[in-house]
Amino acid sequence: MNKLAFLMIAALAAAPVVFAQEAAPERSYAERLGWPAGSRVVIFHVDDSGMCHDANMGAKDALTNGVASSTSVMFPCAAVPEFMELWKAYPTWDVGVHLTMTAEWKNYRWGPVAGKPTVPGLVDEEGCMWHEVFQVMKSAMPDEIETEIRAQVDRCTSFGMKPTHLDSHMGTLFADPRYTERYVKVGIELGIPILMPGGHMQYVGQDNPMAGKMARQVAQQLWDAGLPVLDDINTGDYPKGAANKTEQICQFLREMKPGITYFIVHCTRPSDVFQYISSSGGKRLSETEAMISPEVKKVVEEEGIILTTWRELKERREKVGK
Amino acid sequence: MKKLMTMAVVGAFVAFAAANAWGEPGYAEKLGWKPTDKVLIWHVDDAGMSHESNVGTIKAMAEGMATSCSIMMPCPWVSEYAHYVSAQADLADKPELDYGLHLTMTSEWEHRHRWSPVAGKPVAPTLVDEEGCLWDNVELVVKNADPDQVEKEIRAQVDRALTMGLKPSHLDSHMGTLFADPRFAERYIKVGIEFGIPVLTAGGHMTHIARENGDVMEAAKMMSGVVWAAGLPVLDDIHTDGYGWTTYAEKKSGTLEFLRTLKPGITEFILHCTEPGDTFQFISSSGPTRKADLELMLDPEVKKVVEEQGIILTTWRELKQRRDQVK
Repeated sequence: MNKLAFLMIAALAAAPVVFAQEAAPERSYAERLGWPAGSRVVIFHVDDSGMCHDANMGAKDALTNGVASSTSVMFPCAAVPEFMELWKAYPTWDVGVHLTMTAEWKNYRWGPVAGKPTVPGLVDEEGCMWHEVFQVMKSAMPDEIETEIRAQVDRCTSFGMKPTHLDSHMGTLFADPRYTERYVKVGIELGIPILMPGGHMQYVGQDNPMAGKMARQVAQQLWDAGLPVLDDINTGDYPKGAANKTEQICQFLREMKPGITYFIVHCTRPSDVFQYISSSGGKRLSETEAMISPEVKKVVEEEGIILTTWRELKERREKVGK
Repeated sequence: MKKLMTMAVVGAFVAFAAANAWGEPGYAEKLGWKPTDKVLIWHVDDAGMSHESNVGTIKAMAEGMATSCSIMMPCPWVSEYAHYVSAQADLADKPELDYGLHLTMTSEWEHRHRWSPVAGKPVAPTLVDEEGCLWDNVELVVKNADPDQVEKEIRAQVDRALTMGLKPSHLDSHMGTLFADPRFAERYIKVGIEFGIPVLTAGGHMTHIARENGDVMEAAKMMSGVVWAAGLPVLDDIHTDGYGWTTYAEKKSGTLEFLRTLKPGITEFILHCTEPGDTFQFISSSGPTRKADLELMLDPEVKKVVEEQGIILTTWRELKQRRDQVK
C-alpha cells in the first residue's frame, strides 16, 4: 500500500487536464512575490498531520527540529485533536487543511466530516471515504465535494485556527476539473491560499508530461483573486535514483530551478501500531530523518535556498496588490 | 481518566431502579433456564476504538472466556474488527461471533484520540463539541443533545454496521449515555425493537445495579418490561465495577468474589480487554485496567472458579434464540 506515498502523484497523474505543459510565465511566481530574480524558494511540506499519533510526532519533529516549514491536517481523522494541542504549544506553525476525500488504508479508516446522510456519494460500503481517487470520481457529486471541503475547513476554524492554506490529500481535488473548480472557489471565497502550481513546473511536468494549460489558467485566476501561486510541486519522487531520501533531497536542492517549489514529505515516527495502518512506515520515517538531517540543512545553506511558509506567501501576495 | 469507569455505571444506574423483584421469576427462568441457574455474559466493550482494543477483544474471545463484545461505530479501527468478523464467518465450523454495537455518543479522550458522529455535524450539530467531536462526557451530552439527533446518530451507527455486512447481536451504550436520560433511553429501545436487535437492559434481581445506585430501578424495570414485551431478551443484572479495579490483584480478587457470590439469573459482566502497545498511553491512561481485563479472561484460575460454581456462559445470540422460542 503505497497510496499515500503517491499522494499527489497519483492524482496529478490521474489528472491530465489540470497540469498540461505549456510555456511558463516569463517571471516566476517567486519574482512576482518580490524575491530577487534567480531566488530558489522552498516549502518543505509535511502532509497527513492528524492522521494518527505517529504522524503528529513526525510532523512535530520535522517542524521543530528540521527544515520543514509547513504542514496540513487531515480533518476527518482521529488524531486531529492531538495535533491541534501541539499547534497551541507552537502557534507560529504554518498549518493548513489537507482536504481529504479518501480513506485509503485497509484497517484504519475515517468517514466524511459532513457525515453520510449529507454526502452519501463520498462513502463506500464501510461508511468510510473511498479507498481510491477513481472511486471518488465515479461516485462523488461536485456539490458533495464542496460540502465536505467546507465541513473540513469549518472543523479547522472551530479549533480557533485560521488555516494558512488548503491542499488535497492524494490529489483527489486535482483529479477531476469539477472538483478543482470547487476547491478553487472555496479558497478564493475564504481568502485562503490553495496549493496550485503555475510556474516552470519542472517536476509536476514529469509527473504528467501532458501537464498544464488548465493549471496555469487556474493559477492565474488565483493570482488575480489575490492569492499566492507556486512555481512547482515536487511530490517527493524527484530526482530519481538517489540512494536514500536525504540524498535525494540534497540532489533536489542542488538541481531545482529558481522559483517557489513545494516539496512534499510525510514525516512520521512509526510506533508498533503503524504497521497495522500502513506499510509505508519505513518511507515516512526516512522522510522524517531527511528533514532533520544535518546534510540537508547544510545543502540548504550552501545553495542559498530560501525556506518559506504559506503565511509568508500570503503576506507577500498582499503587498504586491493588484 | 475515570470517565469510562462511570460508563455503564452512571448509565446503568441512572436508568435502572430499586428492585422489589424477589418474588417474580428472573429473566433466566423466563428464557428457559432453571430457577437456580447462574448465567453469565463476559462482555468486552470498545471493539473498534483502537487497534489495541481489537487485539484485546479478539484474544479475550478466541483464546479466553469472553463470550460477547460490542463495537464503537464512530471509531477509526472498526474496519479492522469487521474484517476479522468476516474472516471468521468464512470458517464454517465456527459458531457466529457474538458482537453488538456499542452505541457511542461521547468521545472522552481529551485532546487526543477522538471521533465524531457517524451522522455528521450538519445532521447532528447538538452532538458535537468545539472540536467537532462527540462530547467529552455524559453530562455534556445530556445537557446539549437533542433526542431527535441522538436517535439519528443511533440509526446512523446501526446503518453503518448493516451496510458493511455486520450482523449485530445486540445494542448497548458506551459510557451508559443512553441510560442517562429517559428521552435517550426511549429512542434506544425504540430502534432496537424496530430492528429486532436485543438492547442491553436489566430488570431482574439487579443486585449489582442496586448496590451501585438503587434509586432508578423502577425505570429500569419499566424499560425491561417494554423490551421483553416487544419480543427481545432482558438480563437480570449488570456488573460494571471492574473498570475501577486497576491492578491485576484487585481485578482478580474482585472477580472471583463476584463469581462466588453470583446469584441465579443472567448477569452481564463488563470488561474492556485490550492489548496496549507503545502508543496506547497517547489514547488513554486506562491501559493497565484494560490489560488486566484481558489477563482475567485468559486466567485458568478464574476459569476454574466459573466451572466450580457451575456458571453457564452465554451470548446475546443465544438469548435472542431463547427469547424467540418463548413466544
